[in-house]
Amino acid sequence: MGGLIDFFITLYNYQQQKYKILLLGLGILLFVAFILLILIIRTRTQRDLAERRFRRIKTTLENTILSIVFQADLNKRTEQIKTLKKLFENKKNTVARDAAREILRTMALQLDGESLEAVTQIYRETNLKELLLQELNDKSWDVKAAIIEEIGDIRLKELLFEVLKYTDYEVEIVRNRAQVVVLKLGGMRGLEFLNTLKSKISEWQQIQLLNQLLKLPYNQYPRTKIWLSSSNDSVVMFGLKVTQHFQQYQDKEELIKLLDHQNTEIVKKTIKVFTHLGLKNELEKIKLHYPNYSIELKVEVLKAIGELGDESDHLFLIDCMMSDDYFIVKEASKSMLRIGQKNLLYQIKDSFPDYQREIIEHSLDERI
Amino acid sequence: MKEFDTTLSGLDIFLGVLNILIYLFTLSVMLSYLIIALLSLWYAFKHLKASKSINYLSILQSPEAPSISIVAPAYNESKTIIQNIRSLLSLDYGNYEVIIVNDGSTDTTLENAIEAYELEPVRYISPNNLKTQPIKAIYRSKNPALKNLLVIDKENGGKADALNAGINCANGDYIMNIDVDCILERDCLLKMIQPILDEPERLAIASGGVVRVANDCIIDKGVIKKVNVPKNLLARFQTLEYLRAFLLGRVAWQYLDGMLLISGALGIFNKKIMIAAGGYSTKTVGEDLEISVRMRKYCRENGIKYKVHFVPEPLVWTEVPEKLGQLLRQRNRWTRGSIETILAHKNLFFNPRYKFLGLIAYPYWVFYEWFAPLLEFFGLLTLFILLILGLLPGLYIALFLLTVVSFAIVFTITTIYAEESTYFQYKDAKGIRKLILAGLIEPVSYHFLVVWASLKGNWDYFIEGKVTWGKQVRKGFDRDTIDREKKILVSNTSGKLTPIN
Repeated sequence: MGGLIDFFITLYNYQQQKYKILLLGLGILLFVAFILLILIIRTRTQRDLAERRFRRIKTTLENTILSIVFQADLNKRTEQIKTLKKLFENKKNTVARDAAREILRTMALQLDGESLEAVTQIYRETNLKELLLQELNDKSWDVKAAIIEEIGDIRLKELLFEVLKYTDYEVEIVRNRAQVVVLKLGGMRGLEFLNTLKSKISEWQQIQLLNQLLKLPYNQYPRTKIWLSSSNDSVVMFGLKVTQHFQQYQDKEELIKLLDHQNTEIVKKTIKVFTHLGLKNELEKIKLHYPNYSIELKVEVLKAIGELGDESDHLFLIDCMMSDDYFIVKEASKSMLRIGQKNLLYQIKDSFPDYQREIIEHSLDERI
Repeated sequence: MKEFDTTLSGLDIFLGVLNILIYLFTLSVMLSYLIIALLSLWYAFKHLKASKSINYLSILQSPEAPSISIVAPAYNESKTIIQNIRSLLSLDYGNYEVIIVNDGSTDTTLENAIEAYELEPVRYISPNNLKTQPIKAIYRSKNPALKNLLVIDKENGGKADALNAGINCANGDYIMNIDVDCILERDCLLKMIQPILDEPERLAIASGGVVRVANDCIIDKGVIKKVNVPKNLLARFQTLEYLRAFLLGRVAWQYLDGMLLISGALGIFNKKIMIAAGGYSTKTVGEDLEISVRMRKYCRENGIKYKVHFVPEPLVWTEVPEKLGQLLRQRNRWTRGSIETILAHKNLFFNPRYKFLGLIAYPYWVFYEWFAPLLEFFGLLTLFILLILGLLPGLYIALFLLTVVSFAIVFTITTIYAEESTYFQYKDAKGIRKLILAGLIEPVSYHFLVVWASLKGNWDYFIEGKVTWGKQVRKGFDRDTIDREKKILVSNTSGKLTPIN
C-alpha cells in the first residue's frame, strides 16, 4: 500500500512532465487531423480525376473494340489489333487497359457464339490473356478472385487448368469463385472435386454451383449417386439439389436411404425432392417414417402427402389433425384440401375441438 | 499550484488517485476506440474487396433462395404507411413476405393501409409460439399480386410485442425486423442474406446492416436518389454519430464476434433460434439489444456453434430526430434499454463460460457504453470543483480537455475519411465540408446533450422506474399525401422532403 502511495506521490510531483505529455498528445492529434484532412481532399480529387479519365478513354475505346469484334475485313482487323496491343503494352497507361477489359467483359456477358469468340480472341491476340495469368499468380486474393471471374466471363477455356489450381485455395472467396468458373469452362468435369471434398460447401456456394449447372446443356448427372452417399453433409445437400432440379429419377434408391439420415435438414430436403420428382409410389415408405420423425419432419411428410397422396390418405390426415401441434394440424388440413377432400373437411371440422377447428378453418380460407 | 511534500493529507492522496484514474480511464477509452477503429477499417476494406466478387443477383434467380419474413411494427404511422409498404414490397428478392403489425395505432394507420392495398380480414390462426397482446384481425389483400402482404391489427403492446406477433405469423425461415418508417436499399435482402448463407461451418443466427441518416436526402418512390448531409445541425451531428458507430464500431465487433447490438432499424434473424430463445422481450425498451444478447447466450448455453454477421454497407436509411426534445427522449430510452439488458444478463459479466461475449464484449458494454457517460459527467464535475477550489491549475484542466476534444475530432475525421474511401455516399464536396465542421464543434456541444440524456436515462431508470417508450414524432417520407406535396420542394424528377416553412 505504501509503495502505491509513493508511486502516486512521485507521479503527482512531476507536474511539469504532465504538461509535457498533454502537449505532446495534443500535438500528435492535431498533426493526425491535418494529415487526415489532406487525405480526404486527395482521395476525393484523385477519384474524380481518375473517374473522368476512365470514362473518356472508355468512350474512345468502345467504338474501336466494337469495330474489331464485328470487323469483316481481316487486314483492317489485324491493324486494329496491333494498335490495341501497343496501347496495352504501355505499362504506364493502365487506365486504357482496364477500360478495355471492362468493355470486353461487359460485351462477353451480353454476347454468344461467334461474337463471344471474337471477344475471347481479342484477349488472346492483345496479350491480355498473359496479363491475366501473371496477375492471377502474383496478385493478392481479391485480385485473384476478380481475375478468375474475368477468365470465366471471357470463356478463356485454355486457362481451365490454371483456375483448377485454385479450387482448393486457402482463401474461401478465391476457392468459391474458382469452383464456379471451372464448372463454366470445363462443364461437368469441373465438379470432380466434390467426390472427395472434405470441407463443407456453404449454402451460398451450393446456389452458385447450381446456378452454373442450370446453364449447362446436360440432363444426366451420373455423379449425383456418389454425392448423395457422401460423408460430407454439404455435398449430400448439393447432390439433393441437383437431383431435384435435374429430375434425376435414377437416384430413387439413394433417396430412400436418406430418409433415415441423421441430419434433419437432409431428410427435409429429401422429402422435398420426392415431392418434386412426383414419386407417388414411394409415399408409403415416407409415411412409415412419420411416427419416428420430429415435428419439423412430420410437417414435411404431410406436405408430401398433399402433393403425392390421394383420397385414400384422408384417414391418416384426419388422425394427424387430432394433434395438439399447430403446424401438424395446419399442414394436415391443407393436405386434405390438396388431395381433394375439401367437402369432407367442411363436414367434419365441427367435430374437432375448438383449437383444431380454428386451424382447419384457417386452412379452408382460400385467401391465405 | 499545490505542492506536495512528505506530509500528505487524505485529500492529497484522494486527488492523486483521482488524477491517475481519470488519466487511465481516458486513455483506455481512447485506446479501445483506436483499436476498434483500426480493426473496422481493415475489415471494411476487406469486405469491399470481397464484395466485388460476389454475385448477389445469383440468389435472386435461384429457386433455392430461403424464405424471409419482413416484420415491421407500425404505431401511428398514418402519414407514411402507404409509401412504406410500397417500398417494402418492391425489394429485390424472390422469396419474401411483408408483415405489417399495427400496434393499436390511434390514428388512421390501419384504415389507410386497408384502403390503399384493398385489404380484407381473413381467418388466420397463428401458432402463438410467443405470447402477445390480443390480435384483433389479420388482413390480406384482395389483389393476388399482393399475396406476400399480411397486415396484423392488434392491441397496443409496444414494439417488442408487435414484433413477436409478426414472428408468430411469419412463414419465412428468417425474420427481418425493420422500423416501418425506414427506407431500405432495394438489394438489402440480398446483401443481408448472403453472409448468412455463406457460412459453411457455423450457424449464422443473425446479421445486421449499416443504418444511415435520411434527413434531407432526395427520395423518390421509396428509393434514395441522392444522399445529402442534413441541414439541421442536430441531424448532422447524428449523421456523424451513425457513421462512427457503424463504420468504425460494429464492423470490428462483428469481426471479433462480440457485436451485441443489431439495430432495431434493420436486422435479420434465424427464426428457429429466435423463437427458441423466447422472442423479443416486452420488459425492456431496448428490445433490439436484448434479443441479440439472448440469442447469443442461448446458443452458447446449448452448445450451438453460431456466428453473428454484420454487413458494413449502407442498407437502410432512417429519419433521425431534428428537435432537441425528441432526441433527448430517444437517447434516454436507449440508455434505459441498455441498463435493462445489462442487468437482465448480469451473469455474463466476466463469465468465462461465455468466452469473448462474457469476457470482453459484455464488460466493454458495461464500462464504455453504460458507465462512460456517467464517469465523464462526474469527472468533469470533479475537475470543475477542483478548479474552483484552486486545487488544480486551470491550464492543466484546459490542456487535458483540449486533448480529449482533439481525440474526438480526429476520430470523427477518421470516420469521414473511412466513408470517403469506402462507400462514398456523400458525393457533394460541400456536404463533406459541412460534416467536418460539425465534427469540430460536436465534442463541445452535441456531445454534452448525449451525456445529459444518458444521465437522465439512468436517473429515470433507477430513481423514477420509467419503462415507457416516450412520444415519437415523424416528419415522414410520404410523397403521396396531397397536402404535404404542396409544401415539398420538388426537383425535376423527385421530391426533396424538406417542408418549407
